[in-house]
Amino acid sequence: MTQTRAPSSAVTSFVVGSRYMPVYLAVILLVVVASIWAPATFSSAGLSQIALLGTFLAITALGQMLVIMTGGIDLSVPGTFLLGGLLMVGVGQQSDDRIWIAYATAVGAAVIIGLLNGILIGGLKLNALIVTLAVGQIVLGVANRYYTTVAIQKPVPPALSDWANGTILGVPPIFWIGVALAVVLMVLFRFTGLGRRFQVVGANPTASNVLGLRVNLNQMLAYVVAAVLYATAGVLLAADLRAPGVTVGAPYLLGPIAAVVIGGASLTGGLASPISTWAAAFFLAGLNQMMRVLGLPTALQFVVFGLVIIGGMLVSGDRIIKAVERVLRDRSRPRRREGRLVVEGGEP
Amino acid sequence: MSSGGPGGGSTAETVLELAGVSRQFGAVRALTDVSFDCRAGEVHALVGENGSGKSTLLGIASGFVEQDRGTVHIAGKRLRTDSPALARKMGLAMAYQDTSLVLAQPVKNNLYMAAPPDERPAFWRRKKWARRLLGEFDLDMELFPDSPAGFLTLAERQMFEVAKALVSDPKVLLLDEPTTALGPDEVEALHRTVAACRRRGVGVVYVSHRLPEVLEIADRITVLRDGKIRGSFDANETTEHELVELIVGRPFESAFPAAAETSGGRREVLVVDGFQGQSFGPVSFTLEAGEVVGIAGAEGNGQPQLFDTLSGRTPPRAGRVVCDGKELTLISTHEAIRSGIMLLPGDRKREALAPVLGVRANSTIQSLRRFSFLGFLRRRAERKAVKDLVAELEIRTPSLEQPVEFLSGGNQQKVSVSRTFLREPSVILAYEPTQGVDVGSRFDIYRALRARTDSGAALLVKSSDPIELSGLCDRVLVMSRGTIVEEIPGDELDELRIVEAIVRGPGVSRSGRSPFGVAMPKAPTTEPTS
Repeated sequence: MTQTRAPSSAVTSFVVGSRYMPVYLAVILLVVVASIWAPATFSSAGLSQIALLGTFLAITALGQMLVIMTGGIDLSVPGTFLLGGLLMVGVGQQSDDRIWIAYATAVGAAVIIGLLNGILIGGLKLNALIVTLAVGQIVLGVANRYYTTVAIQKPVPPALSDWANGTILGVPPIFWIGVALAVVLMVLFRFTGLGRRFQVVGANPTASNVLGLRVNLNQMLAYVVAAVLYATAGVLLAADLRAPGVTVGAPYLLGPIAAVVIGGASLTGGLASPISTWAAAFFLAGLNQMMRVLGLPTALQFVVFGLVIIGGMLVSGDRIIKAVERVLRDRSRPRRREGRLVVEGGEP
Repeated sequence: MSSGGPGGGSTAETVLELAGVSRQFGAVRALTDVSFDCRAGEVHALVGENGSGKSTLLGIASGFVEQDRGTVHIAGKRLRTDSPALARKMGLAMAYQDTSLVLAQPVKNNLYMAAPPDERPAFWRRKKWARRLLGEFDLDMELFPDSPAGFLTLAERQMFEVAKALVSDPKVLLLDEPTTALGPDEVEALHRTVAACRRRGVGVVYVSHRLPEVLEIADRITVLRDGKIRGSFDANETTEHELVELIVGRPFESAFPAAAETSGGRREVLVVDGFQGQSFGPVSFTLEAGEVVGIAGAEGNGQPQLFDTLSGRTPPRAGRVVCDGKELTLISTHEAIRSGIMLLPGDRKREALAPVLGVRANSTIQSLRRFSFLGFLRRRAERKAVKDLVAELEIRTPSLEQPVEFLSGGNQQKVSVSRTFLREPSVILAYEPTQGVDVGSRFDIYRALRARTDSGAALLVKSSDPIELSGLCDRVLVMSRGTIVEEIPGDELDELRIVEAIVRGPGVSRSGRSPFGVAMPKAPTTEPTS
């Protein structure tokens, strides 16, 4: 029995992991640039802004990441996000006893939205882009109506906003929730069968069906869990703002997608890293903060944001892997082993 | 049978010429220094087994595939770049095996769209134009200009592909296995069309592995094997037997793993009875534990559908399947796997592997429960199991985390096979287990599959390689037009016997038209259960 040669095992691991590198380089670059030209970015007020904005973005991005891992995309984020926050206001009725009931309602609503997306996309095989856009539109309509009839300019329960505006280890508790969610997802993908199956289904649905994995269930699961994450982020934002407005969801249409892309996920599905996605969300939040410190006009901020996303696509995980493909490709020519298989190739 | 055929060959213009063409796909040498030509008004048949390089040769001639070495001349002019559009402009037309029709549109519109712009009639005259064109090639009996293409039977579509190819008034026409989906009547009709082409001075390259048909229509026959030309003959100076020997090559010596000694009666693990599905059936057979059974037959005779249905990918229409004493509905792949039927798909990249994921993830995906504790993976146990298998099957990979898309075909297939060791199914369905696999790895795969059957599994192998079938299998079932037409028992098993069974063609006469081009009973003649 021959032992497999494994001299380049470390190389392989490095190359395989290289798809997640750019985001960390980008974070370092941002820290350097901001420290030189806009040191106020990292003032204590600035840092706390980044911690909050980054976390809202990170939690929604983790949801979007799950969907993108199945090869889909979710454009119903703003609606679900908004509805989550508003339900905390409306069902919470400014009563501290009702916080958990309100959160459960928000989660329940998110599950329904996710199931709707999941059944239409995973079950009926409709186009993810259009389905989630349409579902998002419906949810946004419902949320707007809910806002004007129930939740208009009312605050969340006081205990919740007090908690959100306190600190744990010097940072807002919301930040730690984002960290915890990223770690939970990381553990899920690394250490559980569920996470492994989810990755395989995302990487190749056709093969997964042949292998007897339940492809549509996994896809539905992605949309449901994602919607719960959006709603959770919405609740946390509401807690931070006390009284959420009706437009709070708008930035979360493109932002999470940008974070997932910059985080090195494969847009064809299967591969993504929760930790990198989380880091990418903080990169975007930091960039946003830096531009505000520099006093860039909003119009220009949009342009910079767009450019960053394009830049992220240009050095995206799939392209990096393609670039280093030569390192990974099995170049060993098949050697005909003597005395095993004799092929006669005589001329007539 | 031929009028302007081989006799006038030397004077006729050469319309297609390939000189010294070679092509390599990864590790596989598809063509080695092949020279081939076709003259105007000649039907030149190209015969060989599946995988002998016929399709590659056609691909190069038609500009779809780029050759590594050698030149292609069409109508005397050199094809400088691998562009199908250019090849077509130079006078080459090809009828495709899988049809490229707009099904919702009538025949006349499909024909209109297929014609190059300067050959098109005025739009409102296209029906008349279509009728005239179809008539010119003796196709007007079969095809009506106004019927939607979706209403054509598979056989008619095949004919229509030929018609579409002829629209551009080519100098040379390539036909790739044109009769696979056709019954005897339609083969005759197609041959009338081919004869019409010959009369008009079109050079026809006719690729097929059905020798009786080839001998009937061709003027010249060239045999291809393992990517090399093995001989060129005038059709009336050669015999079927002579060709078969050339197609197969000289006796092939190989070391296939022998079956373990069995003692006493064997246990039946899979009973298939009156089984019918899309484009096949009814078929009935039994697999015993420890047995390797081959499925032979020309391509397109229901073999992939049989495998897909047995593995739960497409639901069966009728019949009974019993695995390990349990009757299966086979409505989902999940059920099939759970009941112990495991498919090793032929299209590995698309259907078997998650290409971006590593060897380890791909290997254990069907047996994660084995490595789980309360939902968490015991990673060390998993890694050890995969490491042992990588060593045992000689999977050549730099690391267990190497994405399988960067492994060679043979190693990819070994990863796929390794799943049967971890899951230990009672029935393994292997579809073309060594397609695109280098010679060395082939042996490892045979050995691995034999190891599975020796420990009690039954193996059903579909292969287009008669050498593989005769070496690996204990007996072989020959499929044609969706049914099993012959069983070759172990003591008669050799490749010549298999090739003969395939090229002799089916003796089944077609009863009525079926949308699938295969003979199927008009009503379910078998009871679903007994």
